[in-house]
Amino acid sequence: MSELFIPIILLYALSGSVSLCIRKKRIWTVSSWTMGTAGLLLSLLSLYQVCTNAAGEICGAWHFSSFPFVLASDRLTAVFCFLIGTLSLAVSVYTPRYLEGMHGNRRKYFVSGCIPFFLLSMLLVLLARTTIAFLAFWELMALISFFLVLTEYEEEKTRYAAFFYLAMTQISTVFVFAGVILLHSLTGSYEYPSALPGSDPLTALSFLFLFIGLAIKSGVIPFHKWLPHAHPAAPSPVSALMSGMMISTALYVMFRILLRFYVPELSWGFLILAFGCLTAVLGVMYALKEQDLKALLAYSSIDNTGIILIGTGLWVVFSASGYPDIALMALVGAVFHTVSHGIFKGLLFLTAGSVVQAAKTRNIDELGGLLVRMPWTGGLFFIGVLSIISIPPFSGFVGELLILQALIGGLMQMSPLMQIVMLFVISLFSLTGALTVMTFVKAFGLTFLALPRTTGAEKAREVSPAMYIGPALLAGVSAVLGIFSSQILGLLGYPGMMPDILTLSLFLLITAGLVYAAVYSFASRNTRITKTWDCGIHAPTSRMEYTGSGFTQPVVRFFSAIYRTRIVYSKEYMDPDQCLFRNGTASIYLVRFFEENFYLPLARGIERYAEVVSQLQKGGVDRYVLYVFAAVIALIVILGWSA
Amino acid sequence: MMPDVVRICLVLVLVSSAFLLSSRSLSNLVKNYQYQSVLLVLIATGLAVIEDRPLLFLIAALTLASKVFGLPAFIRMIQERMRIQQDIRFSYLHPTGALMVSIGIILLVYVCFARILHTLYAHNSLFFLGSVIGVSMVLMGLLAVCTRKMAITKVIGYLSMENGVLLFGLFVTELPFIIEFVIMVDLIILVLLTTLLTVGIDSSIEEYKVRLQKFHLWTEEEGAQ
Amino acid sequence: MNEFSILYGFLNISLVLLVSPLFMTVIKKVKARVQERSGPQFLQGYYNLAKLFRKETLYSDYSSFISRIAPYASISILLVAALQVPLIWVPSQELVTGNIIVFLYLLVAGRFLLALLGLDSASTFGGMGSSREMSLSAIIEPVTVVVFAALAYVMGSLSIPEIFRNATLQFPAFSPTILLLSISFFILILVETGRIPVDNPETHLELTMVHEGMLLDTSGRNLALFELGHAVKQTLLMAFLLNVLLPVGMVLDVSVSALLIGGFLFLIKGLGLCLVIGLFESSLAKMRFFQIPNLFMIAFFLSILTIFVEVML
Repeated sequence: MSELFIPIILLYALSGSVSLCIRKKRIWTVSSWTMGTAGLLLSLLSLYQVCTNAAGEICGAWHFSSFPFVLASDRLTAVFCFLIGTLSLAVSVYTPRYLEGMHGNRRKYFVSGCIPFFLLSMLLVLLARTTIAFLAFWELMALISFFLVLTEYEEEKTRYAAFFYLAMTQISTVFVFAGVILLHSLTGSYEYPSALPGSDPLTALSFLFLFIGLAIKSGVIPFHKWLPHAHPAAPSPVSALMSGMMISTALYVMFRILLRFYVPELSWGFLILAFGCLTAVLGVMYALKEQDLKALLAYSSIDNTGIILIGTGLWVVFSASGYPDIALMALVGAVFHTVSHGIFKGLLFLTAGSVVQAAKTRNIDELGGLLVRMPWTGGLFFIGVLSIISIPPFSGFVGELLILQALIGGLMQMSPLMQIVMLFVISLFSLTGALTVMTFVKAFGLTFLALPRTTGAEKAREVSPAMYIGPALLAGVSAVLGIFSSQILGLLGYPGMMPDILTLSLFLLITAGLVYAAVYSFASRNTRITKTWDCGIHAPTSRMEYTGSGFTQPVVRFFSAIYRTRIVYSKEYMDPDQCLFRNGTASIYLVRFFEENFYLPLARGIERYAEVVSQLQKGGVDRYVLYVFAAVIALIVILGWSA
Repeated sequence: MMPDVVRICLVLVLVSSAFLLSSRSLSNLVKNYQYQSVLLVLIATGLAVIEDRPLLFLIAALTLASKVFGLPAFIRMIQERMRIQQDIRFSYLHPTGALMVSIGIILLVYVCFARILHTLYAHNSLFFLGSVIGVSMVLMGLLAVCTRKMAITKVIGYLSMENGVLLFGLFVTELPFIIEFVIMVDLIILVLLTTLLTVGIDSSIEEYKVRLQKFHLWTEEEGAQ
Repeated sequence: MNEFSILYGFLNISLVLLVSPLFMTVIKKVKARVQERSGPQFLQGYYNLAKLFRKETLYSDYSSFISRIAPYASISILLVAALQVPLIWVPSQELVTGNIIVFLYLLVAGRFLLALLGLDSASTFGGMGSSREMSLSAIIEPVTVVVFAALAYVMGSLSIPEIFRNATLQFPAFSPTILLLSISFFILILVETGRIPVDNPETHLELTMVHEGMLLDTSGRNLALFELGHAVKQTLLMAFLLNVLLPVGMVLDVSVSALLIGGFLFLIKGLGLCLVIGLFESSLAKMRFFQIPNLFMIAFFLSILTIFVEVML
């Protein structure tokens, strides 16, 4: 069955090259159809593989000058392939209409051509079974996404974001490379190793390198700084894919190395858990403060990465301490959350893209009142929001339920010191959940509800059907994943791990129906449309509503030790005694902790080193002849003395 | 039944230490110290019943007399004369941060004691709990001394530290009465120090009323009584 | 799911709906008596609901479907949550999963819908109520989860009917952990139902309102549904506290007499707790908004301490 992956790969390549090579008008529709078909086939194939529990069937093996490239598929791969397939299908329906709203013709061909290649590279990473293949496709994925981020290169911010992203992804590749080299030196072959013991220091070092490389790619704090710049700067379908799929690919690799490459140690689990907690809490705190809609969603991706890392860390800790059942629960929760996050983050980014295109602004403080103007887009965004804040019965809830159950199970069973660690993680986990709810009340409430704050938002109109049918597919998958979650887990061989959400949803529907019927029959049905109470002023304006920064101000004040807002002002006076004020500026901004304490010193250090080294290259011809002369003398000396 | 009551009182004693770190009103601080001492009395009585040592009843009575009625009355008298109502100044750590640090302190003390005192732990967990909480109280009192700016609050923090030492003595050592006595001496020195700080080293206790009036710290109508 | 559990579902929901307005009115009456007023009559809660259902409903002209569906969605969520918390009779086979985490997240869902409703009508009061409610819930959530986790740890199960059953079988086992957790739970009830010192449920001034601000623009049957939902949430949390602390009158094997006695005892326990809540509310003043995290930190400290004590046992 796994041989069917080859035609799918070829279909993706075809859809990409069609758009890049042929320049007919609107060729991107053909490209999208091909990509959509490929996505559909991929989802169906991976569903089949997941259900039949196929294990390690090889799709193809090639050798390029002693470097083996092996592609194979097993259950874990199939789960993530399903995610790629669904996302490709949704994006393929969404992209053509979105591209028509962009300006610049060449750019549209480019974007619609590169997206299938991007998806293809991620698919190949998932299918890779040798470290060389993985490395090659990883780098391919990074490069293609760099070009996609650089699509709207006229803006300064996009260029900055793209170059920052390129630098960080190359650093990530360096670390992954180092890890791969260490693995090769340890095992002597390029195949994926199995069960290397974690106590050996070289093995631990290779894990550390791989972990840092993956952490940079998935946005773990403190390596996250590029993500809130790069994901919003890309066009919306690309952001959806980057946030939904690229982060999931990095996390897939994390699962793969922990499950297969190594036998993890307890200390590794604590490391992953610590990073996970830090990422989850800080990610959502920075998301709360954002005014840019897409940057808010990007920070929320960082937060979800943290949650998945918490689940993974718990798995390592529990299995190393000898509690296999809660370990399995945590792992299933982490994997489920990765998949459901990919789907609902894709949904949120696509609908946010429609909003940004319709209202021509990304700033939440300039939007508003869009739910009545764009009902379908708003409704789908609402379903995405319900998923991400983990409300039963949607899919985001299942992952958090499993991880929380594992945490409380750990609390009930483990030694006293571990119980205290569990308690600490439980508090941070619940804090993340509550702050996520607040973030998305702000994101949905201020963007879609109440009155529009600018004319751009007022003039926004519903986008064409293709742009909400794609997200609707994702919303449907998300709902089905959530409602039938315990049935799905039972089908996959993990029965009884979680309560039955299907009966819960049925009861919710039945109760809602009964309540509505009761109120309809017995209460008065009179309804009138009138104005909001405005203390009698009779001039409703959007300036009466809460702004984004005002909405989150209480939390910023509660957590002021973390946010560290700084007030900076400068004043100009007309006279030397500073009595007559001319003008001045004042601004309040968050201290960008990681940038100022981690990234900028590193960057400045590198700059200084580069300056020192560049002295060597500054001279005229004489200096270079001097170098040659010195090199020849040195060679003569070495030759003489070594004989 | 009795060990459970003692356990509940121990936890409430730590909560009162937490209130000490975060309370803003001076009268609440004194009331807090009183509740802490009452809880200490209850713990001493409970221990006397469990351990069957009548000496502890005497200690309980002494604590009742000195720390529940005597000292707070004295401090309250000073407070009523000096028209200060609130202490809202914190240095280094605000209440939220201080409470986080206290949780860390309790954890640290627990881990250290678990290593040092295994024999006690195996013997009776109530005593282990009592000793951990006693030392935690001392450290939290010290935290109060360093994070609150006003001198009166520092004094109450110091008093709370003494309570912690007493608690530790009740559970761990064999000579709690001597500890209580030494604490009483300490407290007398403390009261003298307070007077010193208020009116100067060259005054006598009788003259302090006159001095306070001179410094306009003593309200006239009450001074005339 | 057998016929007993369906019967249990009907009985539990009807009891919750019947008893909630009474508990609300009793608290108001206690507070009024402390202030030396005579206060409302005991059936006033029901009269208010009946009056509201008969009135016309107004919608703002720029509100969206959120204002239309939020009342129904909110009360349905709370009624399904009510199926999870047995008031008197703990059935042998549960109707809907009794998982404590599902209960928690259902309450969060209700709060989320209410916050969106506050933002929907473009009024400043709604925005203010929404912002404050969300900020407070962000701080209280760790306390809530730690208290529930501690409860699950002490009672040895994650399922609410299991917890109640274990409490009934072990009664009276006053472990210090349960008594101390009750204090944290009490603070939780005050926060979740918006009582003093967190919020004042009786005024509509913007300086003191959090919950009422979000409901300011609702009217008629929508307001009636929200008031009923608020009362139901309070009853559920009270039932939680009462059935863990004092599980007298809980019925494990069903019979008509046992149900009647259980119902009567639950009413007495509930009225007692209402008295305590009313007296507690009357003895404090509402705290300044930015001092409320201090209260929550103390509650968090208490819960953590409780678990330390349990662990160091």
